Amino acid sequence: MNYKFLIILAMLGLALLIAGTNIPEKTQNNYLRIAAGQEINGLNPFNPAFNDVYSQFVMSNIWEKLYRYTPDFLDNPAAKGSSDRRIFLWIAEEMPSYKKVGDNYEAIIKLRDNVYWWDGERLTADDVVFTSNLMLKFGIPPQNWVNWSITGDESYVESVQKLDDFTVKYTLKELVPIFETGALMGYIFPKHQWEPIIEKSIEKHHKGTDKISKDERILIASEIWSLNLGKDIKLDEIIGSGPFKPADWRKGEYMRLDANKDYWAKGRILEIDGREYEIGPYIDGILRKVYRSPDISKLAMRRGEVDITGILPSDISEFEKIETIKIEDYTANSLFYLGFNLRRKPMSYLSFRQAVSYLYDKELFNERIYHGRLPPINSVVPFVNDYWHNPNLSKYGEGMSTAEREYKVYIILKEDGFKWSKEPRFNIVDGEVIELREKGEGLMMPDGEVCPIVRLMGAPPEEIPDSAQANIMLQGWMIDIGIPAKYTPTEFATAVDKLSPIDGSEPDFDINTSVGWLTDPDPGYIKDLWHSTQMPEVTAGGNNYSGYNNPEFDELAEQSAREMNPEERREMIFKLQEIISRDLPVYPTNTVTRIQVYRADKFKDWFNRKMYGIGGCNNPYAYMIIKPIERE
Amino acid sequence: MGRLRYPLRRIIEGLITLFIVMTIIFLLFRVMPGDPLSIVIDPKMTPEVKEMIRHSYGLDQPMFVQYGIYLKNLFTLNLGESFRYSQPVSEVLAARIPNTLLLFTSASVLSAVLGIILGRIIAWRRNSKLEYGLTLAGLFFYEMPIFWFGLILIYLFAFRLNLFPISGMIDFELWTLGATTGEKIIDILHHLILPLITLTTASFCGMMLLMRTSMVETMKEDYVEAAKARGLPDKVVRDSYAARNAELPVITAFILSLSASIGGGVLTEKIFSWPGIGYELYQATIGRDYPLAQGCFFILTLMTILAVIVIDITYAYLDPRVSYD
Amino acid sequence: MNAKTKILEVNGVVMHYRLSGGRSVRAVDGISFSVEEGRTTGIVGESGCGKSSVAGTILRTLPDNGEIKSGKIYFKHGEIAGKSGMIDLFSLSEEEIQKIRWKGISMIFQGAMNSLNPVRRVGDQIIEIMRYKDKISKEEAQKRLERLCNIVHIDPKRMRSYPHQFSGGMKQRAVIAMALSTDPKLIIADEPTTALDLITQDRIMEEIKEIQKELKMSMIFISHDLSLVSEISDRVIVMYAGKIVESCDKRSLFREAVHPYTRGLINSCPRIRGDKGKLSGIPGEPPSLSSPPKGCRFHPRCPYAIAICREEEPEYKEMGEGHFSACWVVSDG
Ligand SMILES: Nc1ncnc2c1ncn2[C@@H]1O[C@H](COP(=O)(O)OP(=O)(O)OP(=O)(O)O)[C@@H](O)[C@H]1O
Ligand code: SF4
Ligand SMILES: [Mg+2]
Repeated sequence: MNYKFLIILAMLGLALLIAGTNIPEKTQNNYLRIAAGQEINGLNPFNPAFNDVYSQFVMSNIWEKLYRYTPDFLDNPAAKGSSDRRIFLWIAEEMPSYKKVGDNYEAIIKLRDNVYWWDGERLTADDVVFTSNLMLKFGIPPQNWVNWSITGDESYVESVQKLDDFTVKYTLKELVPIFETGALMGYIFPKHQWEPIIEKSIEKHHKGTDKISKDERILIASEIWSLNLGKDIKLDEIIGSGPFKPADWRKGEYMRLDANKDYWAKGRILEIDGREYEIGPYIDGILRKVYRSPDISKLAMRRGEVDITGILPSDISEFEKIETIKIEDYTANSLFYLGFNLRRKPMSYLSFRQAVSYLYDKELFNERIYHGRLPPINSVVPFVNDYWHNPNLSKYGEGMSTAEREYKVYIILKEDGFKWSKEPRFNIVDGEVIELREKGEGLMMPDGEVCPIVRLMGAPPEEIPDSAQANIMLQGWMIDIGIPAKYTPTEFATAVDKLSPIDGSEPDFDINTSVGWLTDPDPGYIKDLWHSTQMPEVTAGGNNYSGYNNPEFDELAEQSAREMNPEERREMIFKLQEIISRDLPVYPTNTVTRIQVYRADKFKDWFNRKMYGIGGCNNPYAYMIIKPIERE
Repeated sequence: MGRLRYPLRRIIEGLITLFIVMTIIFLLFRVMPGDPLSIVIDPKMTPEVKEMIRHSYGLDQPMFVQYGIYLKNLFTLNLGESFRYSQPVSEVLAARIPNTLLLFTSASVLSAVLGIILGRIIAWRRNSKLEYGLTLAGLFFYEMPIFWFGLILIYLFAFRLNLFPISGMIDFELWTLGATTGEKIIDILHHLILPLITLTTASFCGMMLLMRTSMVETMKEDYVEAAKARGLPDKVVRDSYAARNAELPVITAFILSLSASIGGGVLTEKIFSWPGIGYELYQATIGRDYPLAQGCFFILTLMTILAVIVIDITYAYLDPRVSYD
Repeated sequence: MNAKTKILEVNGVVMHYRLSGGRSVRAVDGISFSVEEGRTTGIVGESGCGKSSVAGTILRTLPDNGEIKSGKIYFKHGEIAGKSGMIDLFSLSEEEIQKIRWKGISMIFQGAMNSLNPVRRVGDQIIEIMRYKDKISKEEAQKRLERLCNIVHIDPKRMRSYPHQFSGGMKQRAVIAMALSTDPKLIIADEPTTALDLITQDRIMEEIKEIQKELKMSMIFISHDLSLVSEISDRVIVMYAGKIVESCDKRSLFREAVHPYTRGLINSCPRIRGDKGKLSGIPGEPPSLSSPPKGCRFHPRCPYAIAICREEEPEYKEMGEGHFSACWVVSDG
């Protein structure tokens, strides 16, 4: 059987040959090479499954919006009369102007006249009207609906009309801030590409001459969102207006975006943090490569295979030594919290929720376990979103030692009528709590019943590294006091199912630590997450997992959703944060700090955007202003 | 007639097995808690939108209706549409499976060849230092976490020595900015070597030990003794008498490993960013992308059933004593 | 001594199988005999007495634990191993003995059924050995195979079959053909017919006799069946528990054999051959070869045993011309 040896020899030979071959020289280029952690789900902007940040990054470079937030999240003088001072003009030339007409309001939007689609067509009011009607008539893209309706039912937009080529008139039933920060901040799609597709779908699914029914609408919407961009519509047929065009895509491997050399905004000046930048794009394009393991993308970065990637805090020292690479970090406006199921005892006792909140030592976790990766927050509006963040909320034990926290919890529970078969005992010297001397046992609730086991539903270590450790520590402290706690690692998909059961039944959890949100700069989400109508058992699929039901909160949340004056609204939002902090349906624990590294020798004029960093779907400005550095 | 009946029976048995396995997989996914929408969950997503998505996924139908559709689809070989990619599962599979096969099949072949050769040598030289050395080394690599091993290889050979690319199946820059077909082939091979070495090193041991055991057994057979007594060269006795017959179980294991190789390996694909199906299956499972996960399992089951049939046929070919009529 | 030349002379050979714990099986315990050119020497004895071990010792195809302790085996055809004249097989290197195998001495194995590789064609296996040993072309080997087929009465076409497609008799013939294929100087046939039915056994015996006559083969014929051995051999050697107890010419065997064990064999010689070597005439079991009895090894079963038999081993003495025996009682009177 000599031939097997031959095969092996041949393979080894081939291996050496290939290892030794001069791999063809890559052509000199100025593409920005990004190491991405995941493949994008897809390019179809109407598909609700494609709301991952990776897909959105690509989409945000294709389609653009009427308004955006200012790059630095500082106030824009032009936005003086708006519901949010940070609103920034993009395709729109002016801030909307409002006029009351009868019961309704009219909003006039003026567009720039120099915005062009990639195929040379001009972006006009027709496109804006068409896009708005997609939402109003067909509810696509569906995830955008929340921006068009504050009741979740009907839109506050009555109709949309073209006044002239560059003027659009919206007729509104009421004036709401989400109109500016939501509806007017959606992608604008080219009518000439999508109208024929929509019409064909309507023809197929709409029978008769009546208004399109809800069922028909769903059929049409899902048909549009199942279009495969890249295949049904070829990559080079996609029409956008943004700075980068998708040019090549091998799924699971890479995507190439080429710079739009005729970008309409080219030459425009952006003022960011007091510095002026001229819009390009100057780079040839973006090469996005998928690395499934951060250990490897890190090596790729160090070896110069890519120009930008995210790293972990533990990798910082490795990169600090490399001169050509610079490190930037940013704190995201992510929201992680302990979610209490208020329907169950003992979570229904405020004192109990306070107790657990006191025990959850977020400073300690951040320092000892997460290496500064998860900075503590006290509000459901993370501090990075400083425009809306209420800094004056209870900090629940900040600066206290573990023993002090435990003692505090003991007092809180005791004062509320909790009893123990054996009380926890503390070592107190001169009024200072030194340590827990004896663990509490046999906790009884104020109603006299024995406290049932409290399950901490946390992410398994595979999903969020180190989270198990934090959960186990919390469990330990709870047990110290006599609370029968049990950490139950739960896969994300399972957790979602338990928090908001598909069939509209009551959520099944005690305390949830496994789900977090990436929140919007607009605080409207507070209402969506804790309004009583959002309880999953009231509205199947609702996001108010805790079952928080407070008329005072509901009313104020609704009011804030309608308040156009930013100062007044801010007061309400502050109050809402206060109510949550007081009632504790959830206890905000932390947000996330991310670290990015980039090649400072290859590209200059990097811009680290607050909350979003030096790239990604929420920093659409960065790559249109970075410049390649001339090399020998 | 007799000749035909056997294959026919095997095919029918195979189909029944497939049906049972696919039913179990269907049930397993529905019984397992978890919301397929978890992959798209977003605070901006209103309940109405969630309902719409669920409707478009067909998840609002009663379970038996879903099962009926599922069976109908299976019979028409329509694997449905991936929730996550909103793309026909067959397309996702078609894009990923060749990549997986390239890597994992060549690793299977290499492990089998290596295992057979080494197993043969150590069985022949039983109780030698060589045997202990190889067994120990093999077990070491076998037990070693592949993720860690891959990382070490990447660090040494790709990062430090710059012999191989760091990861992936192709050089994205080269490909997208223009390369000839020849360059592309070389590029893929160049990317293939390191993961191939990793996988082979980690898995040849199983084959080697299997070969060893099997060969030690055949070496006790009279005809091996007889061949020795005939004064045939050692190598001839070893290779055409002892090894040849000992290969049968190894070949079974090899064919099974080939059929399993279509499932790829999550960790290897992850560490090498190999765009294969294993990682996709993993993601589909944790994200509850039922159609994609079911599609993967369908192909896997099908391949296993085929493999068993192929094993039977190979046996009839390799071992003249076996016949099936 | 006989004027005939000896082709093989076995001289005081001792071979033990090592067992765990330092013990050993004394399977061949000081054996001497010879084979004359063109003649057949038969070895007979109960199962387990060491017949096959003798064969294995000659060809040096013993299992790993088989250990040759002493003695010499001279073989006439040293030239095959690149030496000249009579050589001591034990002095040969592994490489040299490899050359002796099949060219000098070939073997028909006990259990021929299992000595063919089941996954290769019978003809290929025979051709293989011819090609390795004689370095001949495929075509020539093929021609020779056809001649062999005629000798052993197999249709040459059947050579393309696999062993399992052969009947027991055909397999046996194939194995004989294989033993003959390289024109060896000496053939050791170790129970070539044991597993066959009686009719086939008869037929094969006839064929062996024919070959013997035609090719003038030198042969060692091993069997537990005295009648078979006497039928085919010129000399008969009787083994008991690793030792030779008697040897004489075939012609004088039935008349002159004197050893109580041989007599027992003759008396119990089954009318119908093929009985599995169980000797109804000799009660009791053969001794264990790892701890054989003191004195004459046959004494526990011997009806004539006297005191000395239990203490001292009888000498292997010449009783008459070419007739040797080891027994206290018969040598004394
Ligand atoms: N590898 C071995 N290790 C230990 N003992 C062995 C080994 N091979 C054979 N023996 C023992 O040596 C003795 C002689 O065995 P041998 O095969 O030579 O007998 P035999 O006369 O050929 O018997 P049979 O008629 O059954 O073939 C027996 O007692 C047997 O058990
Ligand atoms: S020596 Fe004694 S025991 Fe042995 S055979 Fe002769 S008589 Fe019997
Ligand atoms: Mg024997």
